Amino acid sequence: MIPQAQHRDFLDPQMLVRLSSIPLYSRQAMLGNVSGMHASPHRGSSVEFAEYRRYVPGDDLRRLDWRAYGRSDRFYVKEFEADTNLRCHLILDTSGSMGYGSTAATKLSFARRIIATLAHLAIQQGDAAGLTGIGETITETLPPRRTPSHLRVMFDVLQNIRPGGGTQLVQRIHEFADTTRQRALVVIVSDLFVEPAELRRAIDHLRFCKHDVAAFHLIDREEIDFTFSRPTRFVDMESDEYVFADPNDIAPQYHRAMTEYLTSIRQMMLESAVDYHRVITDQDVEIVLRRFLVGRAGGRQAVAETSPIDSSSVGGVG
Amino acid sequence: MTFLQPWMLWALPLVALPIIIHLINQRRFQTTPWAAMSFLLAANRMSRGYAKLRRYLILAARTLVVAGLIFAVARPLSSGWLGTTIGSRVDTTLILLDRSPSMGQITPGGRTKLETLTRRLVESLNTIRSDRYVWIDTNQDQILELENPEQLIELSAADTDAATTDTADLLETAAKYIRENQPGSVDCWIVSDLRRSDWNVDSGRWNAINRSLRQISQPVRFHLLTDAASAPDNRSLRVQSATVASAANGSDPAEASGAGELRLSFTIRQVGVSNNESARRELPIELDLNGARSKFNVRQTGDLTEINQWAVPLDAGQRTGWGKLSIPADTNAADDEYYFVYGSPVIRKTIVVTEDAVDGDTETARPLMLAAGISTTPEIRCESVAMTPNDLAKADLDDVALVLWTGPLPPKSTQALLDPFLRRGGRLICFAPDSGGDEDLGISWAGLSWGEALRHESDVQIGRWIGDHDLLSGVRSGASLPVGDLKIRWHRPVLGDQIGLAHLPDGTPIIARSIADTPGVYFIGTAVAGDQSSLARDGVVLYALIQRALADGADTLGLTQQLTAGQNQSGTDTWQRLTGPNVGRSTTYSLHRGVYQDDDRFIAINRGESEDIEATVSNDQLDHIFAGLRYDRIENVGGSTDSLIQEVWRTFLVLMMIAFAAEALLCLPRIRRTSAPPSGGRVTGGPSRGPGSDPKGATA
Repeated sequence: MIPQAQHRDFLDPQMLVRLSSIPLYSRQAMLGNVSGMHASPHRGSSVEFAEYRRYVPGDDLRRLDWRAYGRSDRFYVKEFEADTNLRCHLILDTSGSMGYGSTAATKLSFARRIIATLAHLAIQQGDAAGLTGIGETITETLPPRRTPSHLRVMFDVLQNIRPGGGTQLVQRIHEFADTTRQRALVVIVSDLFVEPAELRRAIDHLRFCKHDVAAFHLIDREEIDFTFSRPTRFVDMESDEYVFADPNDIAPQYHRAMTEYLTSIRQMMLESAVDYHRVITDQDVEIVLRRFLVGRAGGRQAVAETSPIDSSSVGGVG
Repeated sequence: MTFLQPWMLWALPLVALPIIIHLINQRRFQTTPWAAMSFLLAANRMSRGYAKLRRYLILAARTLVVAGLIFAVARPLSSGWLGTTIGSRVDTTLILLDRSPSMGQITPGGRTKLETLTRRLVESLNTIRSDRYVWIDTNQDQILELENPEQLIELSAADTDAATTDTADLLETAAKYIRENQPGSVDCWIVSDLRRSDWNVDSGRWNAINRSLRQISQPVRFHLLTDAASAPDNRSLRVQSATVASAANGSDPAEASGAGELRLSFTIRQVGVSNNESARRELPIELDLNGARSKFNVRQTGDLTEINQWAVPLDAGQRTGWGKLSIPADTNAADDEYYFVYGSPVIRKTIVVTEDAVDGDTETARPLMLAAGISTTPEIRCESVAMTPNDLAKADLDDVALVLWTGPLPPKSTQALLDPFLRRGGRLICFAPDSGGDEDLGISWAGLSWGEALRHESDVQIGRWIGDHDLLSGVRSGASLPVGDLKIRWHRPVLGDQIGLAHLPDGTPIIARSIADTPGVYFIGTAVAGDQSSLARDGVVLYALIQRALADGADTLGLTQQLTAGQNQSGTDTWQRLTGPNVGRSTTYSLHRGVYQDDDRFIAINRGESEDIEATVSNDQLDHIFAGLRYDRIENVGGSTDSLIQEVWRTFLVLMMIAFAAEALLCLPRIRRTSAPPSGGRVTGGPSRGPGSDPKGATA
């Protein structure tokens, strides 16, 4: 159960209960400083057998496998996987465009639910979770911690985040990669309205630093369907500039541009081995997260395309 | 474009309504905050050209819809040159029909020109509408107010007369009607095939008529509905003379006993056939002689076939009678038959009035007496006598065919003595007097008078003359009279309302015919003396014109009269039709071809000689006639009787519907990709490239 103090409107206790049965796994080895449930590149004392290696002087004699000695007359040391904890960095795009929502729910509110749930799940299973808000600058930074009190702080920050201004998502991800040297699961929750090529360089930067990268690409239904009919003055949520347009005139071109963009982003994510999830904000957040968690628990490099319109389509991202 | 409800056009500014609504709508936009701005900007850039075009097309379509509706309600008339000439509803429509024989030419539609044009006019008038329709017919001297245009057909106005139409007279009467009745606005429709014989464009009357029409204060528009196409493959038959001769020796049958024979001279003129073989074929001629019909063939010899003295045996003792020659029907039935009467030839008497000597043995009178006294054929006797003006009062003019006046014009009292003679059909030729100074300059006769005498230092030749009809027409073979060879050294210009038959190079009329009520009066502006002209020395022209005038005058004498339709319109009440088309009433018999009997007189009525000439009025001449007037010419082609003017509101409604459909199509929302690839996982469309620019950067 969630402590009463941690109750927030973006957190659904029932959903947490249902999702808590699915662990949040990293897809690659982590370098935690405490024991945990995640694979470590180091050999440790877990129950998972890793390999045999030849004995070298200095090794602990207790770890010699006498049975192997009996069979082969040679000294072998039996090594086990080291389990460690996970550092989960949750990156939230706080730019003005995240405040858009054709219904009551905005992209930011949807992102809050994803981040809060993931943070809760991570801390609940003993991992550390941190939060970084990115707008034009890095607006909020909470380093990963494992304590439940940290969760409350994180929720407070999430609750106080307001969308606004432009974004320098690409630059801030580079900064993040530069400053975060320890391996971590980096979860980016954004509408990704950036140049795909530049975003790719930022993602590659993260991957170079051995981070496990996942991305929730939030898109509002209206942004895809573009079902306006009357002449409309569209005001940019980031710069307050506006464009007057007749949707009937520009809808085909808009759809074409949007399709090209989404195709490009998805292709880029595939090539960069990012656990990529495109999410329409009218989807059920539990389904989205369940697919995310199940996909990772399966140890597969897969991306669950979580659209309820075409839920069967699942594409791997490596 | 002209409209029957032009006031509806005041609503035309409503065509701006769609544009105004569009502009207002643009001001009533909704404002939406938007995140995916970069794609919007890209789409806006990509669709700018088409979107603008589409918007303009929609606006144009909507404007067309409103305009089409307004135009349709305004009841537009057929567009083009005709539509621009027809105005709104007029007060009075005057209808002037050319009903001359040439209008009997069959059109491709199987109807005569007159019927075709009249039906077309009726259809058009039914469309245009007018408060009053007035048909003016000067041949029958009537002005009829019609209840509706169809009455023109019911009244047989679409039937041709045998009389030549005096178009100038029609227009003069129209002008008089307008002045007397003061209608608000007038449309004057003239239906004609533009034959020169009907228009007399050389007449000096046209200037006066033009002035008179221009002085009318009411707005008058003249519409000339014409079909001047020549008759293809048409022949015209004309009897030149029908005389009775003794079968034995050809002497005067009146003095001989026993059977005589009818000597017929006639011509067949072929028009519009270039093939010589067809022009030379045998042509069947039907002769109806006193009701007995017979046929004989003649061989055509080209464009003009002339048969002289064709002998037809007569019963013993038969000295007078009537008949008709006809050829097979062709494109104009009006000139395929010719009626004639025959009888003992009358003596063609001429009186030469001269002040010098009663015996006429003077330089002035003698050439005239010789020209009038020598007959063209042995069967006809010609006599000429000379007398002074004083003796003329005591002379018996009943059997005189021609009077040649050589002195100054007489006073009115003397002129009155000749009125019965002229009304009977006698001919009068006045030569310019060279004596008596200029004291008679103020006197006129039949509307003509003399100008001041002018002597030329050298001979002046006649510059132009009318050589296709009247006294100076060419000979039957087609050759012209040598009028141009005449030399004039002294002349007096002919003044007054006239038809100039010959003019000097400076345009001065030298031979003219009066157009006054008294027909058959000619003025020759020189004399026959050797020092004044070569009329006597080169006597061919003088002889021809005197003999022609004499023949015309003699036709009205005796028990048989050969008349041109429309020339003698009085006293026809007692006429009985013997043969001819059963048209008209007894009061109009003189207008219709046929043979009539008045007591013991036989009268043949035929078309005038000028009707056989196909020359038409030129555009320049028409422009001169209607100079300064609102005039348009409507050329009728083919035999269609459809209305010249049609309401085209249906066309505008169709255009409106098309504009409606176009607007609806343009306004249809574009078919969007319902697969919504971006929202699903299957992103299939589009090349794999970015949106073109940094979306964030674009909106930053």
